Amino acid sequence: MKATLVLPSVLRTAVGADRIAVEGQTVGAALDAACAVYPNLRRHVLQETGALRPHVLCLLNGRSLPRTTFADHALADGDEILIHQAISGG
Amino acid sequence: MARRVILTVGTKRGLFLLESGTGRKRWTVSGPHLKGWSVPYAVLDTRGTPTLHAGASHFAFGISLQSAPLKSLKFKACEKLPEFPKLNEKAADFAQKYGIDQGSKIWNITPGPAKQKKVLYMGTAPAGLFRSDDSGKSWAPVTGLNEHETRADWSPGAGGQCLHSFQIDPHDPRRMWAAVSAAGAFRTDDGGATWKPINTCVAPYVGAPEQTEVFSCVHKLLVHPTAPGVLFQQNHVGVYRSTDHGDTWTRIDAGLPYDFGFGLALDANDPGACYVIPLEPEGYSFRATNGALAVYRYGRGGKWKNSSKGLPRKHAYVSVLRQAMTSDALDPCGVYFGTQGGTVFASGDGGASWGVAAEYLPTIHSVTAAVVE
Repeated sequence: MKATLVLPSVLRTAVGADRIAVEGQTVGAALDAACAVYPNLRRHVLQETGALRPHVLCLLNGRSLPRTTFADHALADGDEILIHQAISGG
Repeated sequence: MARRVILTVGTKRGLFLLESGTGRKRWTVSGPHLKGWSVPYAVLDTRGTPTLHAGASHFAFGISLQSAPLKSLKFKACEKLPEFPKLNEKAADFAQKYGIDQGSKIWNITPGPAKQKKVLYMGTAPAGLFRSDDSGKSWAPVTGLNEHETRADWSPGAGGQCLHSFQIDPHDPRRMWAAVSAAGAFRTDDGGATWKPINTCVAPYVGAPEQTEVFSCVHKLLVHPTAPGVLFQQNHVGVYRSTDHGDTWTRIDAGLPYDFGFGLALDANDPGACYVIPLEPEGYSFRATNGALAVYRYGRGGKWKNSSKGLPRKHAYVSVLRQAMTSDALDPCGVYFGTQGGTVFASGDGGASWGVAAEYLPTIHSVTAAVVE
């Protein structure tokens, strides 16, 4: 499946891109494919175990994915995976 | 092209660049660069095409080392950042007990010897030293220090366990110094293969381990750029000078209002001089000037002189962090420091007078100076 991985602008220089065309059957596979092209992506988004870093969220088409199963979600053509940082305040 | 002085100012919210002519009275400010990142340390490498190197931290996305030509400011991140050392159990327990940050951070980036233009060194938290031979694209650990036999006794300081100071002997690039909080100063005479603690005559910090050579909470260490063997250090407990490459230290803080401080700067034109900003060690959480922001210059006759003309004298309760004070190599030397309140003070006359170079910046972590054509 062909999807788009969207990163926060703060990661543009750290990763080398902020919109990445990805392919994969699942969110996890798509992230792995992106990490192969952009090595710093893994450092900034994932922990060594493959889990999301603390304070990092993964959304699929605008809906937050559970932290424990985010990688397993199936992708469809045209999906948008969004990496987001925690926000606090108010 | 006329010479320019560039200050790289790392802050809690990005990197700022301050630029002046050699008069160093009027400054222009650009930034924030690396927007969204906290920048604990940045430096301008002038050995070839002037290039910025900045350590960057983000609460969610971790750490990054980013570099850019000064001319374009197009930053690119290192893709082979090494794994930093981990705190051992004893240090982690200490950090946990006192609420000390255990996270990774880039504390120092130092250009290598003048003739080795691609060599860079990086100091980290947890404390480690790394060397790059390809202008920062890849890094190798300096294992002689990172795996030092005394490492079990390296304690975290309040700012974490960090290798904050790294210096290369301008007369012999095989001799280098590193300083770790809280362990002390180390020196290598063989290009980094072996290191020995050099804390003789330095007072231990309260609670330091006994029966060890790593009992010192050095806050900042600098080697004089022209005088062989001359070093200074601002320590948690005193200010010290060495004239034998750090084999022994002489305490020189008599005459200062407080022996505590973080920042330290040297005068390239005077091997007997240094600058400090004494901070009032009231309790364990309030480290700031006692109402008057004062720079002291150590100089002729072994005396300290209050060199604060132009600095705020009343109601100034500010702190200056260890990487936030520096000097340039001009004559007279420029001295610079940034406060946690976001003001950069600059002196273009060796500290005789001061002015504001920038204000209302975010919390300032580091200030480094370079002269470029």
